[in-house]
Amino acid sequence: MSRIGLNTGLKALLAAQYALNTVGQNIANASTPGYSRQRVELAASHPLRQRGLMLGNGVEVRGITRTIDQLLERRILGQIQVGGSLAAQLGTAQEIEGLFGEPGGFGLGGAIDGLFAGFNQLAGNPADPILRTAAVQAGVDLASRFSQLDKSLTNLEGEVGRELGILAQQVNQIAHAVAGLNGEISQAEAAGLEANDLRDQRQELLKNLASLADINTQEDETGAVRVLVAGNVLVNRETSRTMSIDRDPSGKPRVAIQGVGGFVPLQGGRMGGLLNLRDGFVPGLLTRIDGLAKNLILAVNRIHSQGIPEGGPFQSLIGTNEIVDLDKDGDLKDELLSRSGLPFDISSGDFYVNVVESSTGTLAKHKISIDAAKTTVGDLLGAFDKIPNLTGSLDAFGRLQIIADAGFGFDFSSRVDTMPDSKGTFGSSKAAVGGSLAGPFAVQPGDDLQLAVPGGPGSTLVNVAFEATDFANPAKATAAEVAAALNADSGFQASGLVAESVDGRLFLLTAGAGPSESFELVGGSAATALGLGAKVGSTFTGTLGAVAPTIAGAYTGTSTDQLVFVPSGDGTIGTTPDLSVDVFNSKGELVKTLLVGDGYQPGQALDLGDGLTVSFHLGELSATDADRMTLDVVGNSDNTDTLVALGLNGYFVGSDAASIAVRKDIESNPGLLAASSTGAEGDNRILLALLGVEDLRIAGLDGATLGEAYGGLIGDVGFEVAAVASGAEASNKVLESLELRRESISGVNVDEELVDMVRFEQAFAGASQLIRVINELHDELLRIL
Amino acid sequence: MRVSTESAYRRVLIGLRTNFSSLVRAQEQVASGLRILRPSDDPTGISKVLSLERQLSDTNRIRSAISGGLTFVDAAAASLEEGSKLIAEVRSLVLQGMNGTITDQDRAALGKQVALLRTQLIEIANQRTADRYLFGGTQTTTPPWALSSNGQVNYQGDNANQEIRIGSGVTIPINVPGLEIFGKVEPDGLAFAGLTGAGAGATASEGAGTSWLEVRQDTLDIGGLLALGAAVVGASTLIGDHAIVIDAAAGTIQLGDGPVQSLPSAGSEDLAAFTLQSGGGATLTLDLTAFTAADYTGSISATGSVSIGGGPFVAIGPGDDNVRLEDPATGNVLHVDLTSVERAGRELVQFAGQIDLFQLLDGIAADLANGDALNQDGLLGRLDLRIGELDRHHGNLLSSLGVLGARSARMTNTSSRFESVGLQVSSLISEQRDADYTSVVLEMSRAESTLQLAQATGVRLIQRSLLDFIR
Repeated sequence: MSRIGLNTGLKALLAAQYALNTVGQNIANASTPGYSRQRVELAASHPLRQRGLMLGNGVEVRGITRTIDQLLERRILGQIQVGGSLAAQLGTAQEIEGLFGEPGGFGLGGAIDGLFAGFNQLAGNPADPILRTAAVQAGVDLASRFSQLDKSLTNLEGEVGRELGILAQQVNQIAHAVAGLNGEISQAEAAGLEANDLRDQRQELLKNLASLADINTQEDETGAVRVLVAGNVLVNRETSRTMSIDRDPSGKPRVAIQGVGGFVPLQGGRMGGLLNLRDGFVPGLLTRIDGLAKNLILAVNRIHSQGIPEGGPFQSLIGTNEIVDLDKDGDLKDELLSRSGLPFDISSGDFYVNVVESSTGTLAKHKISIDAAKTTVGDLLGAFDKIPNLTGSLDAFGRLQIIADAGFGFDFSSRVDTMPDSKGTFGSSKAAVGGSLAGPFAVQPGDDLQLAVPGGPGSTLVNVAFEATDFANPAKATAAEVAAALNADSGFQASGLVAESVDGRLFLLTAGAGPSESFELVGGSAATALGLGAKVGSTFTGTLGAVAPTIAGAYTGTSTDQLVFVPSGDGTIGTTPDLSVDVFNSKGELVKTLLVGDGYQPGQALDLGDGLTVSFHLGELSATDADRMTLDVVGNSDNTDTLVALGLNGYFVGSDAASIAVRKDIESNPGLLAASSTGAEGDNRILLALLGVEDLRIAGLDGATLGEAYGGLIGDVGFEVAAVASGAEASNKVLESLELRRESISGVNVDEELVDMVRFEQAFAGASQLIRVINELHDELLRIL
Repeated sequence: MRVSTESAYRRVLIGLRTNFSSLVRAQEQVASGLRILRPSDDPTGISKVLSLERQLSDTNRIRSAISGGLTFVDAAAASLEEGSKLIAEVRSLVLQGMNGTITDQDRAALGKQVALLRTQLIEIANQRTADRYLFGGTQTTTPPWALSSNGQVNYQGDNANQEIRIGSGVTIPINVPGLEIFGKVEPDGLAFAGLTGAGAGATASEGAGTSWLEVRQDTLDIGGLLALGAAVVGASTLIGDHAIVIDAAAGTIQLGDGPVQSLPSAGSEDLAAFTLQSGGGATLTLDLTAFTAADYTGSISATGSVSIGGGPFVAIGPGDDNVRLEDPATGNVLHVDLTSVERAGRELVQFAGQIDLFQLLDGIAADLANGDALNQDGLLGRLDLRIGELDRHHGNLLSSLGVLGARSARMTNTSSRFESVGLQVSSLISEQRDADYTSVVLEMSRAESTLQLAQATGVRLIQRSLLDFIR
């Protein structure tokens, strides 16, 4: 009996000691992260059977267990991954938000404003050199904001790469530690021990790992945990694989795991968050900023390229964009212009080049037509070469270079030719006759034209015979081809006659002017085909005065057209009753009838519409000699974007946020800023048009204005940051509540432990008392003996 | 629910953190005065703020353009007002010169004054503001009216307008080109002074200002008078064929349709120099000392030639009713009918083209000096013509002044409209972006008292422990 009683007391003492020890451990680790409350599992010992009785055999310590909810632990791991990803994104996104410097006017928006403010100031006084410098500096400032923003965002990508490297190191350290713990736990548990504290440690490490990358854990039968990163094994039992950062073919750092082919697409954790930001948000922003820069360059250069700088028309000009040998055959000229590696698209249409003679100011307007599907670089160079006094060539870098002959200049403005009858086919003082028909003409090879000019005894006969080689298609010979064939003929040259083509008709006229000049159309088999049949046998004589039509004003219309001036009859300006000049547009519609007969004061300006006036001088017009003149009115001097694409006379160079800059020579010489559309130093039409860019709805920006597109961009940055921030906050709250639930299950309550302590202290005291009582009982019995 | 000690600490911490951060956020708004400090504070709001800020800076740009433009317009208007006064002064000088009692010297002195006023007017026409010429169109760095070596001024500017932007797609010119102010007036068509009998030809003429038309006598044939003993003495201005009739019984002689004149008696002073006059005022002086009067009907014919502006002379032929003459200095082209010319001499032809104010003043000064030695009536007639032109120029200048005034008014109105728009937009921006102090301060004090409460209760919670009671 005594043995049983002592035994029971001893067991109770031991149990209380264990329990007190556990209370101590719990209190000591009350604040240890990841610690799970431990409990001593007590149970009554197996009873003893004695004399038909079942005797209690005291208490027994079954084990020390952790109180833990496995499911909750897994949910916490998952939430940590989400939170880690959002926290990483939030930090970087806030950094990006700061880069834009909005609100406060220190961002791109302020710089765009600054550019327009600079243009506006200069528009007030275009000749002021200080305002000119300011307008150029505003552009320089804007360009540098663009490139700074671009650089900061691109740098951010690099920093993300570096941070990924550091995080991968941490992942490897943790994975190594987990593998180590796996071994210890398996060993301990194989020996039937409960590795409570080791498991807590391992769980804490897994939480750290989850904050870095998205992981999945599976515990096997030995108690070891397998860790999968985005489905790939990182830790298995006691071994761990190395995570590393490699560059993909585009040079972007990506995550790789030893022994796994390809790259691991991480989603969660800090690393997942960084990758997400780098591959989604940042490139999206860069694309939009590039779009802003590109469309700004396009819109500004479209207008600026048609301007004239302070010093007047150009003597030479080099494009800033390079033509690329895309088919790699060593020849740039066979490249299709619209697909020659230029940064801006070229579409079909026309652009105009004005060639101005410096001494007289005489302007010749030349049209170059572009067919996006056909025109090659060589065709473009050929078109420039066809323009008198102008040469086009490619420099060593593949940039277009245009050079004017000495004494000439050129520009691309939409100004009108103020002396449109430079050829002398509209009442000039030269002897002249025009064809009554417009080309194309059916000319047979061998057909001829016979003319007679005074000289020698009586007159000199000139006979020009046409050859098949004179025409691309003799059945459809153009007036220009006929004129060129005539002008190339030596006999024709010697006669002092000149052939011209105007409005598709052939004109013959003397080089000299005045009443002493004359020639006779004798005949020839081509005369009728060329519309000169009715004039055979007539003699044409020069006059004293020339009508010399003069255009004044600036064209304010938006459409591009060729006006044709035709006299209604024969007569003298200001004299002949009812003499008028009919003006037709290119569709053949009569747009204006100008009364220039009796009652018109020669030299008086007549309104032509769209801001233009025309005046006629004392001279004679002849409808029977088919007097005719054309005037190009140009609304948009380049509807093809060829000038912008080639970088001719642009304000900006470059094509995106990284490359945008003010043209170098404008920066060093602000006089090259082309403010004027007429060449006058006080003219500011280009600047006024540039100010309109602010209100322009741009197709490349989904029909938004520059400002709206920028505002949308800033709004979206704000939305992104706000979304990440609120996501991070929400995920923190969820994690917090999960942690609190974990605490309520696994956490230590000191008061609770103190109660336990008191309880087991009393149990210990009770057991001691029991032993003492049994001991006394023994003593009592011994005394009896 | 079971609460662990750690979770009690943590809950207190969370509460303190949340309350503190809302206090800090409220304080940040109070300190900066802004509700939106970064785009994420209010992404919709920031887009609105940026759009309003764009509108505001556009408004400011327009106002700055207008204020620059107004300086220009007002300077131009002030100059024109001064110009108008000078023209009025010239007018009064011309009126003084038209007073019949005034001496030639006094009139010449008036002419000098006009010349001086002309110089002043040229200075006004070449006035600048901030290094920009006011009246040169878009040619703003070169003086619009350049004095040439012959004392004439030529317009170097253009007829284009400098414009400023006063709204989206709306512009207003701030200048009136000088030619429109000082050179636009067109006189009433071609006019001849009427001295020689030349008239306008059938074909139109082209030119500006005036040119001198000169008719010269080349040969003179007095026919049968020579046989009667008459001889030509001195200069004769006769041109063309004129009948001559002598009535010996009456002692009279008549040249063409001129007055019937009495032949001088023997011993008369006129005998050696007797002047015959034609109806058109041409004269022929004869020495009749050896003359024997007899009934005679015959004709006298004189050939002549004509030129303008010192150009080449063209012989006057019979039936020349449309002769083309060109002034080599000005390029004026005159088609003239010479069939009625019967007198040699110089006369002024007025062309229908533009004549600028300075040319006119030059002409007035010359007229007052009477360089052409016109008689009183001729001079007054000329000056009267000049006054009319001067008034037209004055009217033209005043209408330009009116245009400038109207633009100035429109610009001022636009500017003040944009000023109020600007204020409105500013207040909208402030509404979007700025913190509402009342509510922010209220929010702050609420956050503050919540924080205080949380602190007080938190401390009490975490201080409690069973240990306090276990001895």
